[in-house]
Amino acid sequence: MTDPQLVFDQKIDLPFTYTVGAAQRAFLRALTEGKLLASTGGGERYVPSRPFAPDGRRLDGQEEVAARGRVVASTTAHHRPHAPVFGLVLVDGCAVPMLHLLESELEPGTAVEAVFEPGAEPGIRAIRCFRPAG
Amino acid sequence: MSADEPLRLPEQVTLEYRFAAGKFASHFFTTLKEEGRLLARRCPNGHVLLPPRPVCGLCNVETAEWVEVGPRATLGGYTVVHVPFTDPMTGVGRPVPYGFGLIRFDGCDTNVYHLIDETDAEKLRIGLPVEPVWRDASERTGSFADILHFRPLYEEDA
Repeated sequence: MTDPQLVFDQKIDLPFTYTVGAAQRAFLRALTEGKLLASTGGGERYVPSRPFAPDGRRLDGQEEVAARGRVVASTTAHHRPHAPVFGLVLVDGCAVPMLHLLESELEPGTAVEAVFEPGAEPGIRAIRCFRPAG
Repeated sequence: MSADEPLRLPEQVTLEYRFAAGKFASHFFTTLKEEGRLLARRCPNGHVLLPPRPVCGLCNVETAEWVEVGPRATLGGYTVVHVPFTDPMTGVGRPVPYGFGLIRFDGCDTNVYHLIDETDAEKLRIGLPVEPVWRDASERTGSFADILHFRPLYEEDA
């Protein structure tokens, strides 16, 4: 057998519909208006908005917070098309960081602001990325 | 829009990967693509395996030689699919209904699964003779998809 060794490029698509819960629903819809909503409870704020805190407490409140924060960590996904940069951003006044795209790889501690996508549908991509705050 | 209005987001997870076929499957698919012939492996105890395997799954000894099988075959099992799901041969959904079955090539001791050109389950039975309908030789890629489907040979069914 002197055949070429065959290597197949394979792909499996798994399409699905995600029905968003009440807290995230308000959060994602607010993004289309350029607003960042936090869930509140026990004196803490959480972005993205969510129904429960990490320790299980229900978060009953919701309030708008400034779409600014600081980079906790960042990395470049070189294996993905266009090598996107992902970062953990701690929105000012919030208890835990959120994962999202950064405009470029940024040092921890860099002050950043959200860049909203004009005319976006409700969804996390309504935030195009976070960039250094001007 | 009411804040209570449900929000449903279309999402998709795409799993991309590379599959190295190995030397036995590489030889099988290369012959299938270039010559339109089906080669199986025979073990020392006479079991004929397709897809070809380096080790016999029936008696756990290394296979010994290549033998040509088919292209005529019989149904080893069948169903008519009415529920849409991801086609394992292409990774995408296939319009329903379609016939799907276990195919045992003449001279083989194992089955492969493939499409059947029949959507009326009442017309199918285990043991029904079938034959492959090949993709045009110029369009073959060296995969089981080079066989479009299997055509029932009702006129030859005893």
